[in-house]
Amino acid sequence: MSVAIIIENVVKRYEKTTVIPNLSLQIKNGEFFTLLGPSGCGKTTLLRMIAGFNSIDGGCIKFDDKVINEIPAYKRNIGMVFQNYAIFPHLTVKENVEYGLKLRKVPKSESDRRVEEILKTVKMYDYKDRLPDKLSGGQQQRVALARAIVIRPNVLLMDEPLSNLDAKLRIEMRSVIRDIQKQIGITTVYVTHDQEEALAISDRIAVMKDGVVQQVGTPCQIYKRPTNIFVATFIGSSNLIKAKINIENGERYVVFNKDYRIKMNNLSSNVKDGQDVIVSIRPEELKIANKGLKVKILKGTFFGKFINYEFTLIDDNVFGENKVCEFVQDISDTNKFLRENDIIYLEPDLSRINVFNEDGSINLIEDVILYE
Amino acid sequence: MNKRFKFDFWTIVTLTILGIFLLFLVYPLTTLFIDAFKEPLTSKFTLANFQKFFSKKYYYQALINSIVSATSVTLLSIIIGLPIAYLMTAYKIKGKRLLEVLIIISMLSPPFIGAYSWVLLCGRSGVITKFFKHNFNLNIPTIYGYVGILLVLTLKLYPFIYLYVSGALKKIDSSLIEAAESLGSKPSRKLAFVIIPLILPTLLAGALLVFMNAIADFGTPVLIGEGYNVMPTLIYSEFISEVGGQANFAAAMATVMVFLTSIMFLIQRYIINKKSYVMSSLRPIQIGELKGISNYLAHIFIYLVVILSIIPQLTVIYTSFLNTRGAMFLHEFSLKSYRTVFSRLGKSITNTYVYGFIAIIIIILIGMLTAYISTRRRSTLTTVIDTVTMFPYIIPGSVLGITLLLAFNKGYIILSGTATIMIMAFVIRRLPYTLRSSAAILYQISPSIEEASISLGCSPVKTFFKVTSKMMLPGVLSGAILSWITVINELSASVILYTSNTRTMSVTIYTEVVRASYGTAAALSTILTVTTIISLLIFFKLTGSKNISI
Ligand SMILES: Nc1ncnc2c1ncn2[C@@H]1O[C@H](COP(=O)(O)OP(=O)(O)O)[C@@H](O)[C@H]1O
Ligand SMILES: [Mg+2]
Repeated sequence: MSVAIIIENVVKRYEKTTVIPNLSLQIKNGEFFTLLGPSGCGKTTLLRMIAGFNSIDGGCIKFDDKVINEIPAYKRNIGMVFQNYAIFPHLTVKENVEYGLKLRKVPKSESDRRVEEILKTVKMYDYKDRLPDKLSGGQQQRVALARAIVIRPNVLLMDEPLSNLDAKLRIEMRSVIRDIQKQIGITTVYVTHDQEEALAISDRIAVMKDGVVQQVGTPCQIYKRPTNIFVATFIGSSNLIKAKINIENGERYVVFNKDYRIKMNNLSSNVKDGQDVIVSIRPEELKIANKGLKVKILKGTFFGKFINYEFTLIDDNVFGENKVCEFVQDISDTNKFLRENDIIYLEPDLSRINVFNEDGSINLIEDVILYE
Repeated sequence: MNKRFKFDFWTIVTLTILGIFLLFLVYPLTTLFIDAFKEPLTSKFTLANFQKFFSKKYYYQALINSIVSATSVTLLSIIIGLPIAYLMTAYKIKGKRLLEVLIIISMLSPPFIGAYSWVLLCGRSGVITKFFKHNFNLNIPTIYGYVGILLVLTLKLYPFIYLYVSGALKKIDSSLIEAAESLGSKPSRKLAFVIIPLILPTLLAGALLVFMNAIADFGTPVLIGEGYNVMPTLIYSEFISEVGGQANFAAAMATVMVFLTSIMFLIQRYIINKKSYVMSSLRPIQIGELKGISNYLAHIFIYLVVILSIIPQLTVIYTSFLNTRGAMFLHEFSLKSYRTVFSRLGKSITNTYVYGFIAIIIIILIGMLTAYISTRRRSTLTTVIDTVTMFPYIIPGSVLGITLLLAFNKGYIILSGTATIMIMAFVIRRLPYTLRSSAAILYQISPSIEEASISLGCSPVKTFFKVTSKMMLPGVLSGAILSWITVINELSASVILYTSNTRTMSVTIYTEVVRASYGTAAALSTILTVTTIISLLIFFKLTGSKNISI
């Protein structure tokens, strides 16, 4: 039942403005695929094109081999879960879940069996005769999920389904969704602007900006080897520091200042001597050392397992407006706590940091994967 | 949706609705405006009709009278409605709930009943007139003319001010008032400098609504105005005397009238759109208690006004059970008036309910579908429909009656004298209530509910009937009841369109009063009033509140 979704060069325009200029993606059968990006980047637009609520102004979308551009939404056999749940308020929980089965003329006995099964799966069986206004947000979202899945759709589409829930419930529902998806094995396209949620839930993620896919990959690939500084800063946080390439005797160095340079073994062969670069270092990729980047501590925040420090670079060669950088210190690693205005040296973990070209658009590390 | 033109269900709905409005509103109005510029016999273009109007005092005096009386009614309504709204919102008043219901009843009851009851009480041979004459040999001031119009319309229209203003007062957050107090405002200054400016836009919007209603009213001036001509009565009498379809002069007057109301309407829109501060109160004004003399005065004032405004209803109900001889009521109870009504005028009762029922079904259908296409299927055509559905706010009932009659008494479609033309007049005039409540509830229904249904395999059209329409129903019905109440009480258009076969209760009450058959008029008015009150009670039950938004 479940299908692969092939999106080829699709275009979306609203009147004059082009929201999606040219976008291609291949979503595999049975995978949990997430569209991630800041709000307004076109995630909902793309999802609604798959659902059939938005027209496709160029290119095509296929379910397996079948082009669906002209198939109306109600014939696409999709399951959809909405941000505001969109439960029918005049129907009970059971009637909501039955709705799609009735339209498909599923025999009563089978319908009852499937409704019961799915309500048990989402742990809502005890509430089957309630009206939706008697349910909490999390419960309504479970009903919405059951209603979407029970019709055995080709694909399951979810648009920020957790963003109306409180933080604790969000984490709980996240694993409910993930578990049920794996159990049923249905192709799922999930939209969120919350990078943490995307990392936790997805098989693969497409990071989008301004209607353009920046990178597609597993959560781990995207976190470790972001393809540009937009991805590096949008997913997790990264300190961006200006530096220069120096090639000496065939060895490639990244030079931060006259006193400190690091030797990199995984830089791509296109880098040129003297090239300006941006080094992206995540807070957990920095360690206190005797040499390295000279920094001044601004403040430390205690989080239990670790301490988060804010600092500035003494030479002030941070990229961008925000000059405040961060690093984390594992509690177990140390018994020395830093104080405001302490001057220390920090050394980056050479195998993990990323180096981008001058404008941050290309990652200069060798093993970056743009599209997995 | 799709760029290519799709001839789907909603396109058909849009075109049908547009067709109805073009046929029954735009086309007749255009005909009217063109007629206004024609010479009666030669059909040549002329301004003579307007010249005639503005050169003879008899004619233009009616325009002046209309403006003067509507302005006075508006001012008086503010003078009465504003303090009542403030006192009822800010202070403890005994019997507040009942008072509110009575105020709404007096607003929604048939307009002409007020005029006719006050004639019964204070007219030439009215009860009160005779009482003073016999006992004290006193002549009370005449009720006819300007004074009567002022009295009747004010008592009927101040509720608009009351409802608008108390709605706005409830939205003022008490912190604003406390802020004013903490800055050292005295209570009286607090009213003048904090509260009044906050509610001013609402007050103006309400005032213009009163003005529009006052200037368009036909029933009151025709029954109590006597020599005091206003535009609707003048248009009516000119139209009736200009028989033979040559109604160019009446058309010109109607054009003048529509010009005036359009300007008022545009001003009202402007004010509503400019109403800049959207208030929503977290902590409404605390209800205080008045002490001593001011408490008595407040109660006396409010009760006096409310009783005065409900007197017409009580009068007609009481007199409907009196025996009559000719135009005289005798001092004994009898059901004679009801017997006469059922034997001679029963048709008007069935007509009212049947036409009203058909009209309300059409209103609900058009209202729901129009609200849907103009919120969910926006296009150039729906913008046109949106504009056209505003027209009923501008066109006085008598003008609508004339336009429909002129348009459909000759040519391809002849509807004059039919039930259809009456029903269409009702539909056009009273659709706005249902349309607005339908649109309001649609805005509260998230489009994703419909999309959920579609994604589950239900076609969009089926979704509308299976899901959307069911969710809309409570909101639609609350508007539909207002449409219903105002349909069965409609007079100014029906009085032009009716024939002896198609007459309704309100038309019959009017003709019976004109024939001085007061007993039957009272019995019919009672039936109408009771129907109105029952409908109102259903409305309150349905909406679960004692508030009404017009
Ligand atoms: N119906 C519409 N008409 C015009 N512009 C739209 C419409 N829907 C979305 N947009 C625009 O398209 C862009 C992408 O919107 P959307 O897909 O909702 O973003 P996201 O879901 O990623 O937050 C935004 O700039 C938005 O303003
Ligand atoms: Mg979105």
